[in-house]
Amino acid sequence: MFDVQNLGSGYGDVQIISELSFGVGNEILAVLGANGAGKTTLLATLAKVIPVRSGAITWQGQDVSASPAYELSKRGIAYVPQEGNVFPNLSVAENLSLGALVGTRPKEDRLTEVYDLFPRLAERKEQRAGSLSGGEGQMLAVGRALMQDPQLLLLDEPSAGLSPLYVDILFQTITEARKSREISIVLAEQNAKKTLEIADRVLVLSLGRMHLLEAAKDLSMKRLMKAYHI
Amino acid sequence: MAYLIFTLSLLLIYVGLALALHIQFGLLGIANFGVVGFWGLGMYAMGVLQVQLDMSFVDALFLVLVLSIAVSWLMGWLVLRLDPQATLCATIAFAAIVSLLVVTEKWATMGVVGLGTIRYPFRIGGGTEYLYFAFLLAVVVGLQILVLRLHRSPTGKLLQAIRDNEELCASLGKNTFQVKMFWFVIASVVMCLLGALSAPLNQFLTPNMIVPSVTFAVWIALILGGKGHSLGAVVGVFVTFGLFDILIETYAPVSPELAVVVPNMKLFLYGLLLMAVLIYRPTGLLAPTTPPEHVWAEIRSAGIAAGRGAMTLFQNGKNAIQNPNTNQPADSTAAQENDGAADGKS
Repeated sequence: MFDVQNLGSGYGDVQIISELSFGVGNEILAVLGANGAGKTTLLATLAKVIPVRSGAITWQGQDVSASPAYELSKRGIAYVPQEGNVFPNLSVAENLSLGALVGTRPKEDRLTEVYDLFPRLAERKEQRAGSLSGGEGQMLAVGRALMQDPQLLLLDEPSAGLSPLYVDILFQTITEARKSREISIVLAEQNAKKTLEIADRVLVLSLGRMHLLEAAKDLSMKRLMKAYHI
Repeated sequence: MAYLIFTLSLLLIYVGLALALHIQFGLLGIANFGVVGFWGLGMYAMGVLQVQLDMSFVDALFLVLVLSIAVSWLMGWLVLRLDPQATLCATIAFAAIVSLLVVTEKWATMGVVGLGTIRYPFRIGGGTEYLYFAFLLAVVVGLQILVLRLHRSPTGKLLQAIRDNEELCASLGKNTFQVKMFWFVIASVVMCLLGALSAPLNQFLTPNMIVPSVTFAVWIALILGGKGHSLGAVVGVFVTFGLFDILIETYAPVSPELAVVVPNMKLFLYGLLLMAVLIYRPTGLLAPTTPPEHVWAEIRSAGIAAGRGAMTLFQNGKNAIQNPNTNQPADSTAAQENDGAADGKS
């Protein structure tokens, strides 16, 4: 469905991701790794926010390596960056409505579904996104991505900086959305323990290269921690 | 009365320019410092077509529209991929090119000699200026209504989203470059057409009309009024151009000796008002916001330091007048105060 072959990318003169190959099926693929491993760069490259330097990305049988970010969105790939993931001067409802720029279902239906998943957003729909708490902001970002009716969701550290309560709510919602909509998810995370609970497979990055790719149920925390320290 | 109608018509032109800039900068974040370039292009194009080619007002206006679309699209294509600083420089350069072309292309523009006389689109005896004013009023009111509706529309929200985070907006499925290009061209064409409509008002065009101060006046008005507010442009132009250029410069009872000072005082007061608004209401008169406490503290310390510095300069100047042979400050107190001012600033 989503296939990455020998992917390479980076910023300026610095090569961050090298020779990375993997596929994503109907599952949650967790991308783990220490700080600086290249998780954020990988997801930004998959979303085409930064260009592919080498290799190829194939989505539903078509090469999308050269497609701009807005094309990927139209083809059903939604991306939630780690930072700057809401429009601070727009209200919650306006932020969510921007998610409905793609897709064919009525906007109101999609809004109702997102408000059902995140009741807190319904309570704050007239509030400026810039005035939300960190957890509410992450909910809004994930909610807006779900408004896109995606088939593949790229989530970059959605739990970063959140309290344990919000992390639980967020992971629970991601799992529910995955089950009810059959969305494939690539989830980059630092919270390894929580991620192992919901992921189907785990890809561990080390210095921009793949160190390990295996089913989550076969992976113990001990092995995972060892992989982090390579 | 005719002069009042003329200045009020000019005020409307400035409101229109500020509204167009509001779309570009207030909604989209494009720093167009070439406002006078687009305005001057439209004005001179109308003049050349009417005077040199003897075209009717309507035919000339149509050709100005076509020309302005082509030029605005070309400018958009050149500058919209650049970073904000480069966009700013490129648009200033565009205005400078238009200004230079007006001087050098004498075969069309008559250069520094000037180009005239440009006719009104209609003539009804003594009421022509009044009718033209009403026409301009209708145009600017229409433009303001468009801006108000744009603000509330999903398109307006999209423009603000692009301004706030273009990368994120692109990942939501919008070709942001196309959206920016469309609205940049619309606003630039409006500036050109307002230039074309200014030509009959001025009747005789000279290169010294295309000066950067037009751009700066529009920018100051927009920032004062509130760049992000749909009515900021109107309020800003009334507070600057309306208050100073019309009310004070034209109608204030000033003695002939002081009359010479008024234009310079106007610039001084413009600057003072701009500083006050930027300090106390950074987002403009119509955006109700107050800076947080730490900003107030910085403002207070900067004000105290600036006051001390000014006092030191004044003291030094006074001493220099009293002791013309002494190059250094007459007493050490001034130097100490100067040090104090520097400390305060740091």
